[in-house]
Order: sequence, then structure tokens, then C-alpha cells
Amino acid sequence: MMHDTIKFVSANQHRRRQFLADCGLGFTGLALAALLKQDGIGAETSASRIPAPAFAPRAKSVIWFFMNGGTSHLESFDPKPALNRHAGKTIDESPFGPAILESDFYRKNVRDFSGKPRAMMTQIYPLQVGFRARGECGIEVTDWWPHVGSCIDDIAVVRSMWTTDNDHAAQLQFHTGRHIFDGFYPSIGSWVHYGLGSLNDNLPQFLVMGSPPGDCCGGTGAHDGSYLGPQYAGVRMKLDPKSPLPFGTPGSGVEIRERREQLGLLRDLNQLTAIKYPDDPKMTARIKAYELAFKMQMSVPRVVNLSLESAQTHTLYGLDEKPTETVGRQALTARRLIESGVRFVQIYDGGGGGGGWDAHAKLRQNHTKNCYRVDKPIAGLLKDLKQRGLLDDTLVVWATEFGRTPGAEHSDGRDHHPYGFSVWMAGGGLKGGVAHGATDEIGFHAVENRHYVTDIHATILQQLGLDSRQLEIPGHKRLEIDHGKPIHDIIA
Amino acid sequence: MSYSQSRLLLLIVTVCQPTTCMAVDYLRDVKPLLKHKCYACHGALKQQAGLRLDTAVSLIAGGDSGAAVTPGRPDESLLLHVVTGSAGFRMPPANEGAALTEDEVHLLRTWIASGAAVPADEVPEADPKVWWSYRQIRRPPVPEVRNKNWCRNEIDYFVAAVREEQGLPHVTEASKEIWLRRVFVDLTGLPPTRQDQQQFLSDQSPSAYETVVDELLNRPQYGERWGRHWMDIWRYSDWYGSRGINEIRYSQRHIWRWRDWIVSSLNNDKGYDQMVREMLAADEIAGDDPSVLPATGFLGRNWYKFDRNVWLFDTVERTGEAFLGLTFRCCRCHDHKFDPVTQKEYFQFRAFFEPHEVRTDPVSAFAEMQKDATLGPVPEDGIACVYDNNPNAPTYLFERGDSRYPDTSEVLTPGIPAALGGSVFVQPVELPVGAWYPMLRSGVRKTLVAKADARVSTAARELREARSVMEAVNTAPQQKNPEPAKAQERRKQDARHALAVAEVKFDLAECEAVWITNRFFADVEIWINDNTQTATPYDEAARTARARLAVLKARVNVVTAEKGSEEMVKAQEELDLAIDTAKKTTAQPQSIGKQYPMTSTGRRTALANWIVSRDNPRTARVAANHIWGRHFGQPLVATSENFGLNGRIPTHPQLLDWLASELMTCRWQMKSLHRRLVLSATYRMATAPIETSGVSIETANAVERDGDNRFLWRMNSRSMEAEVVRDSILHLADRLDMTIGGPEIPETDGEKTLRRSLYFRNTPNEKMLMLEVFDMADPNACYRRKESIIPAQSLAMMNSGLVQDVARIVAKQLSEEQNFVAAVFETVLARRPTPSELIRCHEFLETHTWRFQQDTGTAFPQGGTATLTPSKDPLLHARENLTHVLFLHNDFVTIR
Repeated sequence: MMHDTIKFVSANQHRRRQFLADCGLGFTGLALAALLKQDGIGAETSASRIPAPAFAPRAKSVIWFFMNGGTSHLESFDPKPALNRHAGKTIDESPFGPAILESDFYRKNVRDFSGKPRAMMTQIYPLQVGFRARGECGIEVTDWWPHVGSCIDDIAVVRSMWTTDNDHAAQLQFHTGRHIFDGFYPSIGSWVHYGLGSLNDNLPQFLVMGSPPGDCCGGTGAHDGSYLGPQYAGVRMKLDPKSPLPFGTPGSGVEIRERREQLGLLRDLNQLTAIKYPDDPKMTARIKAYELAFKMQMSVPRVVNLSLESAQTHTLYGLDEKPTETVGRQALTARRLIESGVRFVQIYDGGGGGGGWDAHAKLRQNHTKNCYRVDKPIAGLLKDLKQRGLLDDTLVVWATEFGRTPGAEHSDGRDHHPYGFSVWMAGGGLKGGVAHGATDEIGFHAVENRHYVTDIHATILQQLGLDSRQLEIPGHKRLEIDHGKPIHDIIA
Repeated sequence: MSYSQSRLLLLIVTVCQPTTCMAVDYLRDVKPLLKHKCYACHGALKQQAGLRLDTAVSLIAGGDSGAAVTPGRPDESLLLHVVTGSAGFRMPPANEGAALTEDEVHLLRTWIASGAAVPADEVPEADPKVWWSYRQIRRPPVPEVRNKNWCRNEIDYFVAAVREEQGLPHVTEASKEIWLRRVFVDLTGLPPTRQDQQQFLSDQSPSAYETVVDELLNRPQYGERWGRHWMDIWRYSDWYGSRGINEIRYSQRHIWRWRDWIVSSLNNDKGYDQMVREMLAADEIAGDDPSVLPATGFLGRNWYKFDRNVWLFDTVERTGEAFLGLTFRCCRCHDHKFDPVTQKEYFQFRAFFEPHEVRTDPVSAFAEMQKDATLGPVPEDGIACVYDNNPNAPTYLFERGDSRYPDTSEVLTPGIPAALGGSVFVQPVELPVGAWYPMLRSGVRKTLVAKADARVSTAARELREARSVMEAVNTAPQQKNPEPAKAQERRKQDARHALAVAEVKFDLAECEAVWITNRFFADVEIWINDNTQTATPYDEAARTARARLAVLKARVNVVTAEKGSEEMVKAQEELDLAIDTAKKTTAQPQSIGKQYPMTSTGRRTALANWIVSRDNPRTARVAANHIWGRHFGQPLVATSENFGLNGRIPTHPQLLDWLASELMTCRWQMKSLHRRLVLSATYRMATAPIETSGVSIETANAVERDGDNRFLWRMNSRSMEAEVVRDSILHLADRLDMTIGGPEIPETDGEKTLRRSLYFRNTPNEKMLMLEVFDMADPNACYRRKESIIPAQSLAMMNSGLVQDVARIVAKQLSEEQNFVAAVFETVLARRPTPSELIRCHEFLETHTWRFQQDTGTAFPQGGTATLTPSKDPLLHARENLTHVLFLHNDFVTIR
């Protein structure tokens, strides 16, 4: 049997040489050899777009958590005891009234979604949770975030964010840097993918987990490539290890080896055509794309297979407990993905509609539950990255589209608040244990070191070695506000 | 030393810093810096403060403030004080660009310090209005060429002339089979079947090519193929918003009728000029014609629920880009930096659209209502169109483009950018009655009468039924066990009540029919026949019926309400009131359905007429460029939405003008232009630089010198667009449902519903995944498709159920073929296999079949969407896999 097969193959090799000669031209062998050597012209799959790093890169990849709906900055990373002291008073009655209402930013800086300004939530609502100084740095974090709080010495909190959309399309804005009235622009993940190219050709470079914003609020635009093209858009991934990618499996009716043989045939047929069309770069790129797709199809399920992780790790991420399991799986998968060379992992939490964090009423109930779901997994990720030495070149971002009002809505909730809110970042060459910027006494306006959302983008790009000004596409003029400025104070 | 060398030496001075020394050259270093930072306000376009910086001489001379540079004395040079801010103000101003960096200032300083050497013969920038795209289109004479034999029509002379000027050769003709596939995909978006191929290859007549082209242009698939192209440019999008709660935020419901209008207009070879007119102003030029009105989807598509200004910004900018190759988004905030267009002109352009609004006209009274989450009840079907709602809406310039700061000191009138020439003549339009009173359109009013009649029939049937029940109760034969008297009495009572209800409902239905019929008769007499006298009896009958209608409606409530209930009391009160009102007054005349203003401002008609005027320097060029680009793989002007000074210049300016002029000469009909293009020798060229006899030295040279093929020495090979990939796969297995038109199909049904791809929902939020990975158009803006080659496409081709099913079907269909490999090559790739391909495929079939006979291996994980399983027969299974490979082949998605 064995013997027969060998004879068959060698007979074929002979025949093949014959027919290559048949299609003539004498230089076939040469052309084929050249082709075999030629590397992918599909530059997007491997080569970097930027000639050389604009800055010395400090980070290689980004894990981006985004809380859809608007997490209260007051009950998270910017607790304000003055709220308790003045609870029940109106903002007017409080000593802060004039400064807030006469501020250059109040309303003037916001483009309202429904044509008329959102009503002011006047009655000051006390903090719904206690807080304490944490870590060696002593930064105050509320008791809804005990695990993340315990990592505060590795975290740089930015307490002075502002944005211009007073509704949930601010989710889109946080990712593209533009108000939805301006339309759709490339998202930060797609810029990173575009700017950096790939570390591992067997995996997509920009992966997305969780549900994106609702179609009301920017939808998939928050991870889209816009004018960079769909190849830079985030690829939606499911946690299902059997078929994590779209079109990830042909189904169990197909065997792996038959697909392999098909791809062998495909390669040969394409190369035979290449004799006739020797300068067709698209063909070379397509040959490569098929091989990559096959490898991707084989390797992605392995990367997302969490059973390869120890029980200890599972516990660290909260996989063993129902409420924390989903985010735990996402966070652990994210670590495995960046370990394998993925550049940007974007995890939406509470996606769809306005977003799960949108606590207009029953804030305490909403945030207790939501914080519990995400606190331990995200902290688990930080600890895990640190112990593996990965935090140095991985930038972890935690963000949300806006904060929540100091005043009460529906007696027990808080409304949208674009004037001042908090996000944080960790790793990737940033300082730990710092709180940058500040809001006023009751957390209304960002008053110190104010930052628009693209300052976060600029900081990320800088840490990755990219200069946003070099990421220009002809015909798509970017404005100053699109570029933002790196937040130097938090860079180590 | 030659003159030029000495001049060079003179001009180069050196910048010395502690560590490096660098020579400063005016032309190399200073001029580009000034161009980038200053020319927009101090150059050919504008000379603010009397200052022009586009030559060194004028730079030194300065403007209103005196000399800008004192050679040799940087500290006395105003230029330096201004760029550093030490003059008390800074240039460029903060909102016009970033300040010069220290290095840049140092550069200027060094140049001035070294004497500010001036190059001889420096020419100032040209007046922007002499830029090619501001000049009128003149039909150029067909040029002389050496190689006349090669040329088949005028196009070829223009192409050959440029090519000969460049000293480039041309490749030979493509084979018949390659040309056939190319032209099929180009004109219909579908490749030729084996039958199509056999027919053409066996047609030896000299007109074989023409026969194919004429036949293809007559297929309805032509309109679908080219419709999709124009939908890209006109940024078609189905409505979107918050679909879960059925809330529209962008575009229009039922906008698919615009898509169908595009397809049918193209199939009917409607002129491009007329298409533009209808898209901008169908409501003014054919406001009562339901087959034309949907054209205004072009405008309605920009509707945005939350911000009228966003909506109008888009309207202005997309109209400029699509029809005029004019990008002037920047003019929202300031005068154009490259083109002679001002911010004021931008807002004057907006004034054309200021009065317009969107609305949904009825198509039939039978359309049901649905609930939009915030708009409330909206019709389930209708015509999305626009109309002038507010003729007096003022247009103001927004300071810095910010809608919060309108300059209310001046109301702007509609106007066109003066640099493009021509003028507009705005005249109000008296609308036909069907335009402002859409229910009166004959098609619609028939359905209303029919609906009223149908209601009468239903009520009559119910009345008959109630009567027979009543009779049955009264005449019920005595049973063995008679009912208790009480129960019998209750049944009788129920029947009597039901009859009373049926009677009053019948009266109501009848009265409604009387009202509607008479109202229509009256309105037709008044508004269409212009005869109020003959209308009088109908009008009176309608008024009476109307008054009675109110009474009957109240009566229905009284009869149906529970006796003694609060409802009953209320219903009785209303009835009394209705009776009273009916006695006291004759009901006011009332229309059926909505009425809109009877006149329109005529602004959009005026704009459309200016756009399609033969003197407009842009319109025909832009259209011809789009058409050319989609046949030849690259437009003549690479920036097809920007013909301005910052766009690219045409590779073949004469050809572009000839095509533009030809388009206008042929009454803007596009089919004749397509015909010329695809029958040209240029279009017949092969894509491969290799001729059958091997690579000639000449063509090898051409690859070297013009690898991008800008000068068309060969045909460009192209990749199928997303829709063509999906449609072709289905078509070749004879699975494509060729039904034309209709409401959009959910984008998630792409593998189930086998209609052509353009009929599926496509919005920025909702795209069919299969199409998305193949770079389908971004519905927000797409003047040229992007083309990527990514593993996601490979995964879709390898694993989607659609492709796997088709491979299995095709293999089965061809199973009786004697030469399977040849047959499947012809089917999928529209060509015969080469001998070597034959051998390799047979080898694959042998080993593959053999393998399936032996054992089974590891399977892929479960999942996927294939509906057919692989064949159990090893040979057929192998053939299925071979067929599948041919769909993955580069030659499938490539148009050679």
C-alpha cells in the first residue's frame, strides 16, 4: 500500500513537470520558484503601515473594557463626601451653585441629542456606597470596587474626563472621538490595527467581545474601521470554543484533512494561473489569505479554550461563580488573545439599548450588581497580567461613555453626566497609583487637567509607539480634536 | 559651471546648529512650508491683507503692512514676528492651523539671515478658476494616431494617442471567453452560463460582440447591476435607528421604492439629466406621479431625526460630491482652502433645500398602520418623498459652522458657487392636485372607494347573518327537552342585540361609503375638472353624510356599550351632542387624508436645471468618470468625488471631455455610452502582459514604466464586488431568484432568501455579513469601493453554507458530464481548463476519491449553515470538493 502511494506521487511529479512544460514558456520553473518565495503582498495581514515607530513603544497590545450606559464616577473612582454633607439641597442652594451653572462648560459644551437640553437634576443625591483610601498611594475608591481597588497601586485614574454628547451615542463618541452628529469615523481599535499591523498572522488583530452599543447609539460603529476599510474593523468573537469566529467552521460533515487537500489543490491551480499572470499581486495575497484563514480556523478555538487554564486561574477571574463568570471568561480570553499576539481586545459590558449601567433609577441596585459582575474579573486580569510579567507591555483600559449626575433622578437614580467623569488605565508603561485631574467638590465639572476622550486615544497610541498625526488618510482630514493629546502626567 | 548649477549654489545657505549643519534652499525648504501654512489665505485663492506669498518676490515685498522680509535682517522682518507671535498676533491664526514649530521658524530665520535669495523666473500659482474642472466642457477633436488599425471607435483614438505619446505598447486582445465573462459581469453583475458561452463562441459573425452587448443591455439585470453602482454614489441606505423598538432615526421607511426607481430608470434608459432632476425635485416636476416621486429618496435618505442641521449638512455636501465632484464640507466653517468656494456660497447652496421636508404618501387605502416607538402610528407602506413645507424658512450662515451661532443679520438666497459658472432661475411651481392632495391620485382614491365598498359588503354580510340568527331563534323547532324559558329568552335577547349592532354598523359603513364617494366626486370636480357647479350636489351629499357619520359613530358606541355602565352614559351624551351638532350646522367640507401646500418654491428644480445644464463644467464629467471607472477598474480622475484643486488631475483629459460631451449628445442616455465603452478595442485588451508567444520586450518594458497601467496599455483586472460574489455563486448553480424589486429583505436572511444582494437591507447598522467581509459599500459614503483581501473572506468562501451548498449542487448537476473537469471549469470559471489544470484536477479527484474510500478522519467542529451534506458517493464527494475549490480560485473572484 505504502509503496503504491509513493509510486503514484512520483509518477505525478513527473507528469506535472511535463504539463508545466506544456503550458509552455520554458521559464515556468523559475516563475513558480519565484512565486513560492514571494511573500504576501496583502500587506495588511503582516506588515506595519508606518515605516518606523514614531516613539519607542512601551506597550504591544491593549485590552479595552467599556461599560455601556454610563458608570457613576461618584460611586466608583471619584467619591465626593460633599454630596453627603449637602444631600437634599438643590445645587442652587449649595455653595457650588454659581460656579457650576455659570461655568463656561455648562450646556455650552454639549450638543444635545433630542434638540432640547437635558433637564438639570437639581437635588443633591448622597453617595450610595462607602469609600476608603486604598493601596500605598491612598487613592479613594468606593466599596463597590474592592478588587480593582486592591490593584490601585498599578492604576492611573483620570478623574477629569468630559465629552459632548448627553445621550448614549457618547458610546460611539468614546471610540471614534466624534459626536454622532458628525457621523462615523474609525474607532480607536481600528486605528491601532491600522497603525501597528500584526504580531501573529494566525489571528485577527482586533477582536471584540460582548454586545456593542445599541443601534440607537452608534451600534457597531464603536468598533468599525469606517474609512480605513472593513479589514480594520473589529471582528466579533463569541466565547463558544467550537465556533468563536464568523464562518469559523464548515460543520462536522467536513473533515480537516479534506480541506487541507482542497487548499493544496487551490494553491496549485492558482500557481498554474500565475504562470499566465505573473505580476498579479492580488493572487498572491489571496493564496496567503486562504492559508491564514485555515490556520486561524484551527488556532482560534485553541486560544479561546479556557479549560487549558488552571483551577487557580479560573478562581482568580471569578469563573467559578455565576455572577462573575461571563466577564471572567471574557477577561481570561482577552489575556490568552494578547499572549498570542492580538493587538486590541475590546470588551463591551452591558451592551445593547442605552446600556446596562444606565441607572436613571435604583442606582444602588444597578451598580451593586454590575460592579460585582465586573470588579473581580477585571482585577483578576490585572493581577494575572502582573504575575506573568505581561502588564508591562499590555495596556488595560476601563472606560464608560459618561458619568452620572450629582443630583437625583427619580429619587433613587442619577442621570447622564458628560461634564466630568472618570476612566482608568493600567500597565503599558503608565504610572500606577496616580489620580490625575479632578472634578469640583460635588463631581459636576471636570476642573483640573480636563481631558476629552481622544486624549485617552492619544495616550494609548503614544504608548504603542504611534503618532496619531502620521495616521492620516488622504481625503479624510482629521482635526486637532481627533488627535487629542497624550496625558503625559500618567506616563511613567 | 553651468548657469543652473551656479544658481543652485547661490540659493543654498546652511543652517548650523550645535550638532548638525543643514542647507536651506528656498524652493526645497521655504516654499513648501509657506504653501502648507499660508497659501490658503495669501496665495492665488485669496490675498488677505494684500499679501501674496506664492513667490519669493511678492513675499519680500509684503502687503498692506509693508515689506514682510528684510533680507539679511531676520529681526527686522515682519514675517518672523508674525509667525512667532511677537508682532502681537500670530499667523496662522489659532483656528486656521498649528503654529510653526521652532525648527520651521529657524528655517525661515536662516533663509532671511543669509540674504533671502530669490530664484529667477518663479511663477506664481495659477488662478484657481483656470483649473481644468472649472473650464467648460468642449468636445475635443478625435486625435491622430499612428496605429489606426488598432482602433475600433473614438475612445481608442484618445487612449492610443496618450499611449503613443508615452511611448507605450499595448497588449493583444483578450480571448473571446475572457471578454465574454468580463462584459457579462460588467453589464449584469452575473457571469455567463455555459449556454451563454457556447452561443457566443459558436457565433462566428462579425457582429457577435455587438449581439452580446445589445442583449445584455436589454436584460433587466443591467438595471440591477448599474443601479447598485449608482446606489453607492448616491449613498442608498434603508431606514435605520432603533430597530428593536421600531424607531426610525435616519433615512426613510419604504425608501426601497427609490432603489426600484433607480433600477427601472436605468433599464428604461432614462437620461442621467432627467434622473438628477427627479432625484432633486420630482415633487415639483412630477408631484402627482407615484412612479417618479420615489426618486426624491436621494434627499429623504439624509433625514435625521435629532438634528435638522446634520440632515441639511449632509444634503448639501452629498449633492455636491455626487453630482459636481465638489467637496465643500470644509466650507461649513470657513472659505475653501483650495477651491474658489466661499462659506457663504455653501450656505446659499443650502438655501435650495431649506424649505423642504419629508413625508410619506399613500399608495393604497388598504395599507395598515404600524407603530413607531416615538412617531406613533405610521403607514406600513407608502411612498417616501419630499416637498416644500416652509417656503419662508430663512437660511443663515453659521459662524464657524456652528448651528448655535447663525448670522441673522442676513437672510441668504439660494445661489450656486460662482466659480462653476451659470446662473439659476428660481420660479415658484403650481403643483397639480395629485401632488398636494395625494389621496386624490386616481390609483389611491380607487382603493379608498374599494375599501369603503368592501366594508359595506362585510357589514351587509354580518347583518344578514345576524338576521338569520334572529330568525333561527324565533322559529326554533320544539326540542324534546325544551330549554328553560329564561335561557331561551336570553338567547333571543342576545340575538336582538347582535342584530341592532349589525344594523347600526351597516348604516355606518354605508354612510362612510356615501361620504367618501361623494367627497371624491366633489373634489374631482372642484380640483381636477375645475367645475364647482357640477360639484355642488356631490359636495352637499358629502356634507350630509359626514354629519350623519358622526351620529352613527356615536350610535355604534351606544349600542355596543354595556347597559347602565359609565361607558354607556358617556356614549349617550356624545350621541346627543352629535345629533345636536348635525341639526345646527352643515358639516364643514373636509378632505380625505392630508393636504399639503399647493405651491412649491421651485428652488430645487432651479438647482437641478443648473446642475444638468450643458454649460455646467462638472456634471457630465463626473458622471462619465464614474461610468468609466466601473468598466475599466480605475476612473480617469482618481478622486471621483473631488474634481477640485486638491483632487487628482485626469489621466486622459481629452478622453474625459469627449465622453462627457458624448453623454450629453446622446441625450444623457447611458446605454449608448456603455455600448461604446465595452465595444472599444481598449476594453477588448487582455489583462495579462503576456501574449501567447511569451512576454515581449516591449510589454516587459511597459510593466517597468507604467506598472499601475495609468496609460491603459492593457486592461485592468478587477475583483468582483461583494454583491457580485454572492449573486454569481448562486447564479451558477441556477439558484438565484431573479425577482425584481420590492421591500428590503432582512440582512440576516442572505443564506435563506436567494434574491439578488441589492435587495437586502443595507444600513450603517445592518449589513449582510457575507457582503460586509467583501467590502460592500459604506452606506454613509462610497464613491469608490475599497478592495481588501483578508482571511475573513476566505473563511466565508470556505465555510458559508451558501458556497458549500452551491458546490454540492453544481457537482451533482454536472455528474452526467463526460468530462466533468472541463464542464465544471466552464461552469464556474467560464473557461476551459489548460492541460496542466486537467491533469492536476484528475489527480486530485483520484487521490481524494481514494481517500474517502479508505477511512474517515477528524471532522471540524459542529456548526455552520450548510443545508446539504456531502455526498456519500466518494467520487461525487470528491467532485463536490473540486467544485468548491474552483469557487475559491482566484480566477473566480477576478474579472480578467
